[in-house]
Amino acid sequence: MKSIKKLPMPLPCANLLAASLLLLQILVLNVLASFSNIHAEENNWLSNHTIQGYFQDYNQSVFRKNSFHTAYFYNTDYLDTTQLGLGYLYTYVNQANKASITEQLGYLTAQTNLYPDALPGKLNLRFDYYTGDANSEYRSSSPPYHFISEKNNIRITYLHLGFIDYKKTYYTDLGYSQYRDSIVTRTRQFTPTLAFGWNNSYDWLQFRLYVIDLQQQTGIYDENNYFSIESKYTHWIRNQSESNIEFVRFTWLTGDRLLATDPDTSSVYTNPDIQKSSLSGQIKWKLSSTVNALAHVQYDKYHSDSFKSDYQSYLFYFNLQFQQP
Amino acid sequence: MNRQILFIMLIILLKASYSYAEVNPWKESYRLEQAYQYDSAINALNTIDSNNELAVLRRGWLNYLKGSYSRSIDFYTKALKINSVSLDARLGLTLPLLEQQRWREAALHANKALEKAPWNYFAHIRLMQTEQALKQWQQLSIHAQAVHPRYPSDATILLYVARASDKLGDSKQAKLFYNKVLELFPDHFEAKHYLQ
Repeated sequence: MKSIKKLPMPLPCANLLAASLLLLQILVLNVLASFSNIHAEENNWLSNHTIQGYFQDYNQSVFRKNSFHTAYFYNTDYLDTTQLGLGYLYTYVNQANKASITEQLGYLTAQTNLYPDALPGKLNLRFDYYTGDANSEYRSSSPPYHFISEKNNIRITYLHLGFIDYKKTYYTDLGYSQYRDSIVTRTRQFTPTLAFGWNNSYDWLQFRLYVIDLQQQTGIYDENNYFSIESKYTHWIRNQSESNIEFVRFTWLTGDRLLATDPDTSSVYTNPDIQKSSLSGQIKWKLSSTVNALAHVQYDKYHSDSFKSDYQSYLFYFNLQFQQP
Repeated sequence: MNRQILFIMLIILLKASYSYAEVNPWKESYRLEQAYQYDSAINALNTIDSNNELAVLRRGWLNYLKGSYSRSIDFYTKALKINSVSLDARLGLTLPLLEQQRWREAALHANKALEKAPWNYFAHIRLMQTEQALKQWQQLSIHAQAVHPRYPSDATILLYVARASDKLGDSKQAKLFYNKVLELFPDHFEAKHYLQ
């Protein structure tokens, strides 16, 4: 195992915990205030439902063949101040030798916007929580051959503080996430983000740094610190009447990323292999005043420390979002 | 000589005291507002009861002018609690909400104002502003065309119809309404640019 100099955590843990608790407190108070507001009429809550699915094919992987995923999300927004959401995510991974992983996660999210006069924009506090398990089934390596089941409990928390100016020329956030499972691994993830908008906010370029600190119990991984940068370009279409396309987006990742939580897509990468790079494209259509559709294709390179091998994956994703009229 | 100087100073001091006692807080506040001294204009109202409806409205307005939009919202909300049918408070509240881009909440208050005063110009204009921001082009087009006959000489409403028509792909109607804008403002930049 390589001798790795462990980098110091970006923030002292005690201060980080105190800051996180304070942000959570503000978030909870604002959410409760939304419920008790004097004009909290039913139609002040704007809701939407999203169903999504993807198929992912693995190429040159020793162990993974393909995977299928589906999910449902419900989100509701109170007058641009509070957003609440919940979801259910199901993923099935087809592996070699008739092995498989069935993963089910529940998802909760709460966000609140704050508008302090001292700042030229709004603050966003967000808390996401994923909980569930991944059931692995694999055949024993020696006779009598039988299938062994192994359950891995997964818990992921994500917290961020974001800011966007009223002119919509820049956005920044600092995210913190913890991934824990019951078998192997615990990670802490920091994601400082900076984005710039121009052309009346029709174009955006975002950079997000993923700093992931791994606390592993089994020594499977060669390193404990992973760094990557994700760049994302979005172009919003001005005249949507011709094509109904709302935006097109390109994302690319360079560096090493492991067990990452992606707040933009409300997804978690529970694949235990290291994501070496990624390239994706997205198109979103506004099909009607209440229905949106999004298609996404993604190419990833992975490295498996367990098998000391590299492989690629191709992912095809689609979602439909139904908004309350 | 010293006695004369002292006597003159006493007269000046008495006059100053008399002038100070005569300062009208409202007059002082309006004067300071005209001089763009918004903080001082707010402070000039300190001697007035904090639950005085007009003072609360004024604090809402002055905080809006100085860019303290959350404070402005607090005061206009307080004014609504004092007088729930106040259109001044309801419409005043839409101003800082629009600045903070809280479109749906601004639309809520504009609609509540319209419940009491169905053809209030400012309520309609602010509602159109939220419809444009939320890209509700169909709704904006219908709304602006319904209000236009009530205010036929208003260019802002014509602009909203033109913009919504353009976004809905109806360039013929967009040109028609941009031409109407030019009848009112022959050098209007947006209308001229679109029609070129």
